[in-house]
Amino acid sequence: MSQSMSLPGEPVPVRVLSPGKVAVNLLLILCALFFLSPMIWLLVASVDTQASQQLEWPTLTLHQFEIAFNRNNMRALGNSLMLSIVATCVATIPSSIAAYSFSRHKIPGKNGILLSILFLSGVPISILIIPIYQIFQWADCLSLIPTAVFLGVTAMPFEIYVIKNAIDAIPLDLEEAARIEQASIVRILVRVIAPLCLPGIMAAAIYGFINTWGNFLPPLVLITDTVQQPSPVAIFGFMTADVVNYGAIAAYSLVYSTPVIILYIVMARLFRGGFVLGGAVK
Amino acid sequence: MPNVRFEHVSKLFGDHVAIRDLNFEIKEGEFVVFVGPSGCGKTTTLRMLAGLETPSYGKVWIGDKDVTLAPPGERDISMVFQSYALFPHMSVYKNLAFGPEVRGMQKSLISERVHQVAEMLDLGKLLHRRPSELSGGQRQRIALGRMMIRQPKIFLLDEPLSNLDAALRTTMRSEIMELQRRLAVTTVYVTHDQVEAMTMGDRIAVFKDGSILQIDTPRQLYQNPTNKFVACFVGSPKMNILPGSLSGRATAVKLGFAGGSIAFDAGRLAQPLALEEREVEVGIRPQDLHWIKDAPSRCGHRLGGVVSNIETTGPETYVVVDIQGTSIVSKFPSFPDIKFGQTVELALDLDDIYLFDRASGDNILGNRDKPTQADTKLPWAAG
Repeated sequence: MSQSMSLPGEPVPVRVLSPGKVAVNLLLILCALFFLSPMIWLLVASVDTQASQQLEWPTLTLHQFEIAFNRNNMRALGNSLMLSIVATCVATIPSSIAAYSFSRHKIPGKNGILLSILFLSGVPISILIIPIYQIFQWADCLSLIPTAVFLGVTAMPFEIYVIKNAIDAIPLDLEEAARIEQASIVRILVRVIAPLCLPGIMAAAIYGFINTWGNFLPPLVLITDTVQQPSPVAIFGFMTADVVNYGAIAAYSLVYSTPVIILYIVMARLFRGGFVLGGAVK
Repeated sequence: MPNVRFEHVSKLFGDHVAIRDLNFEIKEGEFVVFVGPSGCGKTTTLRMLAGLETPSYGKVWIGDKDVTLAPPGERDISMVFQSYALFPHMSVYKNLAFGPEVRGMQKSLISERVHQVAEMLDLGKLLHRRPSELSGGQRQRIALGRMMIRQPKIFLLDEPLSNLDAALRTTMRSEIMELQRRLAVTTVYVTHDQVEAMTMGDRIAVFKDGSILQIDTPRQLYQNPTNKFVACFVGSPKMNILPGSLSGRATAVKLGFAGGSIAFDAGRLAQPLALEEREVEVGIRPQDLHWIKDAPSRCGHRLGGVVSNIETTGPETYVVVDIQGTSIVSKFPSFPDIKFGQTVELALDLDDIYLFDRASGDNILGNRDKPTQADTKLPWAAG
């Protein structure tokens, strides 16, 4: 401070706050509160004995969490994890290899294929559900793992696109440098390409995970055994014809969200350390 | 035995002929520079030698092996890319160790070799760093280190200095030359910079439009260029080109240029004059065109003109002189006492001029000098 005071010349008056800025920021805070209110309801209702659709001061209880943590609901959560992990692997591993081919190889009609892949990623799963049900019934595989495979496949078009873009960003020189060092294609994929497009692969994998995690209709239709049903279907079980247990829904929703939140926190760290293309080529 | 041989090699990209019928040899231990303007095919040729591109026609030989279709890994070459192509997710150590690891070298041997190379290139303190934390010059050194970590048959360098600033470029240039001399590995070096080519190469291949115009020693290239393009490409500043004509017969030949006509020694022509008159272009290097106050006594021919521009470099001054509508650069001593618009007289030794056919651009003079001892005594000749 003392140093800057000794500098010659008038200080330049920079206005930090203007009425316009204040107004805009207030408006944005209002919007944020609007979006925050359902979250607040979720937290409050989960510990309220009298939970209803209203957002109100709670009468504290942990009973709803006891319901959320009971055996059946935990099994549903386990099913959800199983479903999502299998689907993520099924989607991400082949997508990565396909994305590499699309990025690096000369494929006749490549643009057409890529465009149709992009188009397919926009097709809602629900319009496929009836024929898929019939195929599954015919093949006698109306259960958890085949459903996971199906959900994984539906995530593939988008994942191929995301990973292809990540691989496109890797300079070809790096691969050529590795080829000159006598590296095999597998080694180039594992040692050079995969580490460098890891952020892209992870983004795609998260998409694949969430895509399955939140899916309600396909598991409901394609899994006949109630013991194998995942969490979204279990939540539905809290709503019977005459009573809706809002408190239990809120409590179980929180439990159900936890794995995804953990996933994001872990991945956020990976993303931060992930972008390392700097220094490769100048 | 030649280490590298190209036999009628052509390369097509779609319908575009990128390389047209290349034939040349590179000897064991030789330092050959490919030089030419961008898009002339020099990098494509290097990539065909590396195995990163496959020729459309012809054969590429390394030693006595036909490697036309061999993948890069089987050619026993190492390469420095223009972009350096360092692996950004690996430390300097890992970058250097990548090749030996791929080839299954023992861990302790790798470590020994990496430290040896790091020592040679003064990289010892940087081994644990990532490429992104290093300066351009340091990255350049790592790329060189990766090339040197094994002793391949051939080093390939693709414009390795073009991303460095001028001062660093000069330093790295001599470092690379010294390294090559020490390791005595056959080297092919691509650049668009003629100064780099002249200073570094045992022989230089001048590329244009996918063909080699001339592959020769720097001295031959400078003194006996095969055509106008080579003559203008080599030397800085560029050779001046003036329209002129040869006339006469047998021994009595006259050369007309820049508004004058003088007797010309017909013995210097590669072939005697066939026609009464021949349209030519006269090439004069700026260094051979002297200010009258500074000219050696052998410079008998005089030209007069008006100063239209002055470029001061310090050790010398390049003055653009307008001679009958043609701008000509000539070398003056440092800080001469002249002004724009002033009339100056220039002196020239007719032995220093070059003559090219005006239509084809071919050099029509016979060899200027017999190659001297310095030219024939190349590294491979000794061993």
